[in-house]
Amino acid sequence: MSPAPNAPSDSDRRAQERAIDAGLVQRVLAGDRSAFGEIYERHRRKVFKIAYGMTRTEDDALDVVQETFLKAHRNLAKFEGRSALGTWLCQIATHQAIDLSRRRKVRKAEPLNERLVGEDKPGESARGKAQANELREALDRALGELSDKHRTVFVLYTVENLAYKEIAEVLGISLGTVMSRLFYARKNLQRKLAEFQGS
Amino acid sequence: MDCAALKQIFAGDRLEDLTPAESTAFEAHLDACAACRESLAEAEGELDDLASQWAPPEGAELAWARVGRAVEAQGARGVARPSRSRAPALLAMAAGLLLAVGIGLLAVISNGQSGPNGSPNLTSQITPPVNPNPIRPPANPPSGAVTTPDEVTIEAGEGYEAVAELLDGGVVCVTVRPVG
Repeated sequence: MSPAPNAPSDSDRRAQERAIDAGLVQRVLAGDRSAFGEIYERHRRKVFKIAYGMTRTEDDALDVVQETFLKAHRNLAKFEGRSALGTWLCQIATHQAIDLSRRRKVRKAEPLNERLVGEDKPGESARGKAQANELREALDRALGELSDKHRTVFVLYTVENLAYKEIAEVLGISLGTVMSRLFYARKNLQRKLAEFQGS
Repeated sequence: MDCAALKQIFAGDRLEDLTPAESTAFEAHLDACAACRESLAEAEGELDDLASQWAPPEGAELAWARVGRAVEAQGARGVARPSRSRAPALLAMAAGLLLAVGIGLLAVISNGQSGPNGSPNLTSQITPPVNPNPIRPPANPPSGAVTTPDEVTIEAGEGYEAVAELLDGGVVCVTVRPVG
């Protein structure tokens, strides 16, 4: 999952995605009302995952998704295309989520349940599945105990496999700060998981 | 920044954000030092293992439905365009009509003979033509519309004349103007 900006296939894929998004943006600005729906479908799940990672509840995450796309639509004419559309949406979502989290103050995360946790892995036994779910739940809980700034970089890195430079652009921080926050988050999450597994 | 400082960052021991000067030095050192890039690759491996274990939820479809509706409604509004409401045009026409009639004069119209082609006999008298298909005033006229009865009495005072023009749809445009 590590960013591989020099991998041709990854670069080609990103370039293709950007071209599709650029075309959709032009269609929206030209008055094609169905084009924005396509943008929504292409990016809503990614935006939701980022929002959930930062707000810690499904309802708040959906609120963030809604506000993100409404705001994106209102400001689409200002999108200059210097970054990928997905990165721009991530930026909006991140700020929306941070604002919402601050308004909500302290909020306990919803416990993960079978419905929400990721899809079944083929060949996974029932016991293995239960252990994996417990681990995901522990990791999710540990993520909630990180500070906002450390949690944000980890979520951006994990959800969309954003490169360090893209994360830096979304958050308006330096490359070095992205890495310092990311690896600090990693260390703390590993420590909390070790505590969980030890218990 | 030296290798020790970068190793501290990759180990996750740096809590504070980098200053702008430190950020510049960090990037410059990383570009130049193969050993530090190797340390970074090792740290990324551990990070990827951890990241692969976190699976955010997909979200319930019922909840997605209301988000989808809100986004769809916003998207359906399209790009903002100037209003194309007919009300302003109707208001302008009504204002012009009232202004022409109300140049301060009142005229009495007696029934007169229609001129050629059904047009009113125009001097100082105005006789609205007989319309075989009278237009009924709408029950709920749009804002700005002016409705009039079939007979209109307008009296042009001394030195003024009233001119009527029959428009399509039975609309009569009346203009009161000084003679000559």
